[in-house]
Parts: sequence; structure tokens; C-alpha cells
Amino acid sequence: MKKNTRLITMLICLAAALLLPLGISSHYNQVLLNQTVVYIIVALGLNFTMGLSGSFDFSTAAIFGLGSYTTGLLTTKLGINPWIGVVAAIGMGAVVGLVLGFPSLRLRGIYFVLATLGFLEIVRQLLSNMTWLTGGTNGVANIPALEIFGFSLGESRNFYYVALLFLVIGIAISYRIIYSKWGRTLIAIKDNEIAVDGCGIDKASFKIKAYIIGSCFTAFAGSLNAHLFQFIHPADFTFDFTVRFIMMLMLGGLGTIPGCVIGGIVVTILPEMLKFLGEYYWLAFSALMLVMMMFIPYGFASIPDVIRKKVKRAGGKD
Amino acid sequence: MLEIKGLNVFYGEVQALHDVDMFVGQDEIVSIIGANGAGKSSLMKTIMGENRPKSGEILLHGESLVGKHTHNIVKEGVIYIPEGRKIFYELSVKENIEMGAYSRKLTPKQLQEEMDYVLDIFPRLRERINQAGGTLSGGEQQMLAIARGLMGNPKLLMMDEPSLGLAPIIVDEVFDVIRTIREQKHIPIILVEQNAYMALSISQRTYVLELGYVTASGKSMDLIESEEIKKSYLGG
Ligand SMILES: Nc1ncnc2c1ncn2[C@@H]1O[C@H](COP(=O)(O)OP(=O)(O)OP(=O)(O)O)[C@@H](O)[C@H]1O
Ligand SMILES: [Mg+2]
Repeated sequence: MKKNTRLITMLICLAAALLLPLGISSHYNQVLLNQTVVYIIVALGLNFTMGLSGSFDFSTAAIFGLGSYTTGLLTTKLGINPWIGVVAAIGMGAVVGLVLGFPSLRLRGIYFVLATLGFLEIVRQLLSNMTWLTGGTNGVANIPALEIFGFSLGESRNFYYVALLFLVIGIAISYRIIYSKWGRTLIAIKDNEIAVDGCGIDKASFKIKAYIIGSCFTAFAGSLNAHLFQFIHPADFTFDFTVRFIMMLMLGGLGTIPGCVIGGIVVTILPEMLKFLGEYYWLAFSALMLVMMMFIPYGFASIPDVIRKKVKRAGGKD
Repeated sequence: MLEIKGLNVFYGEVQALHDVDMFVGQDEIVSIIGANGAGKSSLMKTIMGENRPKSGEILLHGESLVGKHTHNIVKEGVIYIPEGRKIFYELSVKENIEMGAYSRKLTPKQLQEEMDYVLDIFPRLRERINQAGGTLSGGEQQMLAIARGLMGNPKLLMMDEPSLGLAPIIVDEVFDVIRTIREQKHIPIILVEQNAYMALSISQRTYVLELGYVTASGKSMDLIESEEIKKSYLGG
């Protein structure tokens, strides 16, 4: 019963997602929609570390940026096919996940948090200062658009559909992992680390793997982003950018996939809707976020549960 | 079986264990009693590799455990059931129990057999098999923690204050289970307790820890008669 409801909900959401671009006429809104899909993929990636294994992770912007630059530089400097650039970006995500996660997640305490924070700053500095390679603060321009069967994806509706396909694959992978023994162990690690030790589980190795997978998602999304805008700039990949994704998870519901999707949509689109407020739009957005977090501390994804409990309680009184 | 020699453990500058010597033989229940802050849990955590000793030895069948990772110590069959019933609140009773067998390669059939074995010991858990761990009562959570520990196929079982915060009737139940486990599995058990009377009556030998020092040890039968112990731990 419950499984069916979930499947039906998913299909309705998918249908809505497929039809959505037909209702959009402006180029600006189409790009916003494309970006939303890319950002949800990042949220899914961050969900592996922050949501599932419970390690606070600030490296999102850095890994997204490295994914962007990997494909951006390969395609502009070496003329490599954009799709190969995308694959290389995923590889970059895996390498960074391993190199950063392996030492810091083995240590107890806040080493991982510090490592990700430090890494964020290092990457930003390198991207701005290694001018010979990255073009410094000029960024990388003229990145080719992705192409599929001769159709250019660019900033168009085509991009949206291809990215949506990747998103669906990303969601499927996430579900597979969460509902495997592996994912259950990640939930257990977040639930109670001491008990996990007592079960003979090498929790560090789980956290490292979760971080590597998450980094692959994030770097992949970064590469899509580079080909979406065909221009990247080091100032895009700052602490604020990381915080945006942490907000998505908190608002949507940490550790849940619907939470990533809802959080991704709200945090990407809501600020745009508030732009009519001029320079106060970010203030208004932050205030709204605060209010939402006060009223639904476990995120949007928890609302059905809350309602179910309320209905049950009301029913019990009769 | 387990031998501890000259163990010194520090938290920063503060020394939690001083020159602790201890021995646990095959097939005996050894209890460790002591007041709050005596260092009982610190000793357990040091055996499990969660604390690094500054000096001293911990030998399991003559092989050193010092410096090994906790998960590898568990794989050697040293199972620790921590104080405060550290169960998984979000996982079901069944999943909690299965987690205990994580480090072992079991076929689904073997897993089911072992599961049936622990559920026979704890019939109350069987009734609640699909309930989330966090919704169990305190006593049931303690049973679940023990059940999960048993799934790790312990060669040495260490329990940290299993009776803490439980009603007397449940405490009796827990101690019955401890006896059953020893009779059926023939494994040594280290029992950390503040409930000194219970600990002394169930165990063969006892160590008394005070402020990180072993101040007395010997046969539980003898200690239970000792004036010192009576005065300090048995309420006169
Ligand atoms: N992680 C830690 N950092 C610093 N000091 C600690 C730590 N864990 C324990 N201690 C200190 O070590 C001493 C022994 O603590 P321990 O938990 O081993 O006592 P215990 O005998 O288990 O007490 P209880 O019966 O209350 O559980 C205490 O003074 C405690 O404050
Ligand atoms: Mg203790």
C-alpha cells in the first residue's frame, strides 16, 4: 500500500517535471530550471555525507568547482569531447573524495570538518591564482555545450531533459544505496557511532566511501554546470555556495531523497521569486528559511509523517 | 584468556587508570565494581581500543590488543555492550540484532538460526521484532543490546552496567540471562556493575576499582564477606 503510494507520487512528480518546460516561455526561467536540476544532483551528493553518515561537510563548492574546471579546461585547452570531460570530472570527484576523506575521516573529532573547510579555501585560491592554467579571475570562457545526437544542449530545454534523466538515475542510485545493507549501516552510524563500533563495523571506511560517492555526484553536477553556462569563474565556488546546499538538506529533510529534491527546488527558485524586493531579496529569503526551519525542523520531507501522526491522534480521541 | 598488565590510561593530563592488573580465565564471570568515576568504563574502552593506554599490556590469548582498531578487536570475538544501552533508535529490533552479526560472514540461513537462538533467550524481543529500537522500554533496550552483542559470536563478553536504571524485577531478568549465556556458550563474561551485591553474587571473581586503582580483588564469595567491601559497597 505504502509502496504503491510512493511509486504513484514519484510518477506524478516525474510527469510534472517532464511537462514543466512546456509552460515556460522565457529563456531566463528555462535556465533557472536547468540549474535547479543540476543543484538537486549536488544535494543528493551532499546527502551521502551530511544526511546519511552524519559528517559535516563544507567542501561542496570546492568539489563542484573542480568538476567544473576539470571539464572546462579539458574541453577548452585540449579540445576534448565534452562528454569525456564530464567523465573526467566524475573521476576528479572520486580522487578528491579519497584523498581528502581518507586521512581526515579516519581521525575522530572535527578533522574532517576542518579539512573540508581548508580545502574549500585552498581550491578557491588556486583557481584564482594559477592564472596560467585556470585563467585566474577571468574564469574560463567558451566552454562548448554538450551535444547529443547532433543536438546542442546549451542553455536550452534539451539540456533540461538530459539533466533530468541524469537526476532520475542519481535518485535511483541513491535509493538503491539507502535501502541496501550498506545504506542501513550509514544510517546506523548517524544513529549511534559507539554502537556501530561495538558491532565490529569499520565506520571510517563507510564514511570514506560515502564521501567518495557524494563527491562524484557533486563533481558531475559541476561539470554539467560548466557546459550549461559555458563559462565558469572562481568567485562562484565560495563558502556561500556550500551553505546553499546545506540549507537545501536542512530545509528538505536531512537524509531523505524527497528532501533533497524539495530542498533543491525551494532554495534555488525561491530567491529568484523574491528578486522583486531588490537588494533585500537575500535578507527576505534568509528570514523565510529561518521561519520554515522553526516550524518544520525536520524539513519538508517530514510533513506527511507529521500529518499522519496528527490524523492518528485525532482519530484516537473519537 | 584475557590478561592486563600495568595498564595506565590518561585523558589529557588526568590519569583515569593506574597500573591496573587483571586476569580473566576461560569460562568465568568476573565482575568489576566501583563508584561513579572509578574508571570502570575507561577500562572497558581501553580493552576495546577506543582509548590508547600510555603504558601497559592487554593480551588476548597471549596476543596484544593494544593499537588495534575497535572493529578488528570485535572480529577477534571481544564484544562490549556499552553502558547506557547504545542501540540504534532508527532501526527496527530485527535490524538492530542483525547489525550485531555485521563482521561475520553468515549465510541467510545461518543468520536466521542465530537470530532464532537469541530470540529464544529474549522472547519479548520476538514480539516486538519490527518495532523501532527507540520505541522500546529501557529494559527491552538493554535486552536488545545484549541480543545484538550475542550475534557477534563473542569469545569474551563485556557488559557495562547492564542493570543501570532498571526496575528490580527486570534486573533479575537480566542477571538470569547472563547466567544462561554463560551456561550455554561457555564464554567468559566481564560484568561491570555498581550494583555490587548482584555482581558479587553472580560472579566467581571480582575486582574493586577506586579512583583508577585496583584496591581489592579475589573470589567474590570472600569479598562479599569482607568488612571493607560491606561498608563501602553493600550499604553496611
Ligand atoms: N572522554 C573522556 N575525557 C576526559 N575524561 C574522561 C573521559 N571519559 C572518562 N573520563 C574521566 O575518567 C574518570 C573515569 O571515568 P569512567 O567513565 O571510566 O568511570 P566509571 O567507573 O565507568 O563511572 P560510572 O559508574 O559513572 O559509569 C572520570 O573521572 C571521568 O570524568
Ligand atoms: Mg561507566
